[in-house]
Amino acid sequence: MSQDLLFLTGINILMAWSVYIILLSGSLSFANGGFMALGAYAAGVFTMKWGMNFYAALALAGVGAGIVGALLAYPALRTRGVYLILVTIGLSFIIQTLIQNTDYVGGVRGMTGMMGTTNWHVWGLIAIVGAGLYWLSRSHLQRQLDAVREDERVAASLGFDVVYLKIVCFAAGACLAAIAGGLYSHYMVFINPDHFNIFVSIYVVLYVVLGGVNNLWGPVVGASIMTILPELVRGLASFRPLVFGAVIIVLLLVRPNGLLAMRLRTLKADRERSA
Amino acid sequence: MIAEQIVNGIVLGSMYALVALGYTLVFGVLDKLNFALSELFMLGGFIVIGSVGLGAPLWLAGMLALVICGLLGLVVEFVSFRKFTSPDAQVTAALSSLAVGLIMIDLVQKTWGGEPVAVPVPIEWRRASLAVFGMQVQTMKIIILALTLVLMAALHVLITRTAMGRNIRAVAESPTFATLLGVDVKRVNQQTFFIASALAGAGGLMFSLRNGVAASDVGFTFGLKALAIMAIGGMGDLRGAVLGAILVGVIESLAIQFGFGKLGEVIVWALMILVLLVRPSGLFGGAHVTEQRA
Amino acid sequence: MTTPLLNVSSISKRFGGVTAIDDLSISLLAGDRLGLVGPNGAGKTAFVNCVTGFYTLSGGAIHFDGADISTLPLHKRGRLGLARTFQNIRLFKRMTVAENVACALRDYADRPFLSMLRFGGGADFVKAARDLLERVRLADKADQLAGSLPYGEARRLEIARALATRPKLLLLDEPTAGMNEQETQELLADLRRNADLIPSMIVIEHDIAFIREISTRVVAMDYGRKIAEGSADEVFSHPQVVEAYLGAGEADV
Repeated sequence: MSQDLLFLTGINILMAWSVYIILLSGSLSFANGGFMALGAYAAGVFTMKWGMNFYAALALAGVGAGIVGALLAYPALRTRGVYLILVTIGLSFIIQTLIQNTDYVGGVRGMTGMMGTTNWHVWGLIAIVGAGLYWLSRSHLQRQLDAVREDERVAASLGFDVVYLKIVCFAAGACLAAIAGGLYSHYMVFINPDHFNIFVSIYVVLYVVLGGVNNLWGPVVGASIMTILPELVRGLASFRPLVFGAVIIVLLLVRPNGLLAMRLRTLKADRERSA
Repeated sequence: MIAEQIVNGIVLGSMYALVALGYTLVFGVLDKLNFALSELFMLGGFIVIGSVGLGAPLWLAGMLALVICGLLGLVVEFVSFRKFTSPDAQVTAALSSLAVGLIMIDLVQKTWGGEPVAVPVPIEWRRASLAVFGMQVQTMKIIILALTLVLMAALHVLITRTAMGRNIRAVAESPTFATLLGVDVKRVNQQTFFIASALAGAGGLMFSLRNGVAASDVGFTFGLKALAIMAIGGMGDLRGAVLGAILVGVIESLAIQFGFGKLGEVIVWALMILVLLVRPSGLFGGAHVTEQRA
Repeated sequence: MTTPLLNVSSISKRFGGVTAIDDLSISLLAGDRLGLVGPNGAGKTAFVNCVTGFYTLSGGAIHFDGADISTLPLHKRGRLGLARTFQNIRLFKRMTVAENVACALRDYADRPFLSMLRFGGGADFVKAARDLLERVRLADKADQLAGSLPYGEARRLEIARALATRPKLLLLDEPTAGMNEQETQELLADLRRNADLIPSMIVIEHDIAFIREISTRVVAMDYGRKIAEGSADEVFSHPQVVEAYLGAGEADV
């Protein structure tokens, strides 16, 4: 596997997790391509124009995108789930268009010169985020999020602040997408707004749907398959949207929870009894 | 000059309105989000190109665009929505329709290539103009407005005056109740999908007539805006969808006039977020706001 | 005079043109066990939905434990000590029985992200959940999916989940619906055995024998209004109540 493919796979896994984290609270985001763009450009500006340290730039871009995401998602999160889908689609367009019209970052021509990302950075981050998600998957918080996903209103009546949980998850997902964007721009050297169009957001969501929405491994499987397979099978690349679309449709009909549909349990009562 | 841009805006808005009506029908009546409508909007123009290429006269090609889009709407209903009926599966079905949309784009690009394709329009439609209230308005724009008005009037009559419309309204009120009244909900589903898809196709047809070209990316760049318009007008509010579409069309045209360029393209999304923030029931207040499900 | 735990003052709830609750006032002292009866469509479930925050009020006010909760969102009412079950059971079906109870436990409920500081399900969560499950005779099903439980057990699990929040007032919406006589008696025993966890209670029931057994006071509703209030004997002999039940075809009073 080439360095580039390894890198792309890693970025797509991070992006898929960024969607998964938002999905943990039951919200679907089509804005993660936009947050990736925010991170890519912000980190680029920080390192190239402000001379900031690479890691500090990534962290700042991530935190910034998280705050922006939380502020923008708040009005939609108070209402029904469908509204959030609309708002996130809107965000994707707004972010892309704003970048296209900002001469400071090169507008439609794009920005160039970012360097510093290696596969070690990408896969190191995957290890860290993966460990975090695994930790989460065994926690009380995961149990509460699972309850929110199953029945928001009942979960709220048990005392869970559902809006707060959703906002934090949304901000965390936006943050991870932005950091992935920062890594992306400092690997690609050159970026332009077209790299982050609405299709990026859509594809990432579909990676997660394909792999499975109920555990942290699903997004990894979905993103890996859809990144690596078209490269390995000659001729498949040009039919990617067609094949991908058909696979998603069939999968939703026969396995609506994705390939890895299993939900991980947060506790086992019996093991505790025998102990 | 500004008056002219307002006319342009109304023309643009009338095309948005057709797609927005489609989204609003499917969402308001069936509580479903059908992303494929954006791509049926895109297909409208290509069906005209295809049928004229096969020797059909323009009027027939236009009719075909409506009918074929309507039939494809039935396919989408069958593939992406039939199995997912519970409220929980709303998002699953929406994702499936999104995948159908991706396939449509890819098929169009495989057939006609990625570049915009010219639509065969009579040259005099573009050249000639008529005087309306002392303003010269391109014949094409008048034709588009007239066709849109005819379609909207037809929709209005269909919904308010026919048995089919009565059933559709009953399902919109409450599917369970409609079933008790003996309404065939599955049938209403299909009818609604057909009408909504034909409207989206009509919108796309006129969009390509106005531009003189059909392009495979207009589903996402223009068709999706109808989603925002639906929210601006109030989810499920047909009148609001039309008013919202015209408002957005006029604002976009004026934005171009005043030199905002591409930024005008996202005004609709910004407006939508604003509306959701301050008036979630829609700008025109006509939406029947239902109690949040217990 | 002591202040009531729950004071519902002339609330109403309208859906479009339909009035579900009409100028209803009910108050409840700490320790009360209130039976709420009435024919189907009388507005009993709507009352529970209004008190717990599932419906927004069309008019009137609700005070609970000294605070005005009329406009509070669901989760704040839950934290103040209101917990309920549902007429159409609403468990987290894809989670296990133990998880259903554990997720509702009060620890960390107000600060969900602090729980991330500990790894694993946590032995204390498991123990607390098992204790509650034992109280409703479900301990041996702890690791089954909640969605796989039969009707009666699902109802008991819902009660255990509500008790996990340590409520000050528990609202049960038709807890014996669909149960046979024996199961009903067992449920009655469950509620009595766990009285230490149920400081106050409101029970909606059609089973009049059950209401007589469990409640210290009874309110009868019809057409969204209170038509009678008092001891079980008083209410069930009240002419309007008898008429309402006869009218609804339930003459077994």
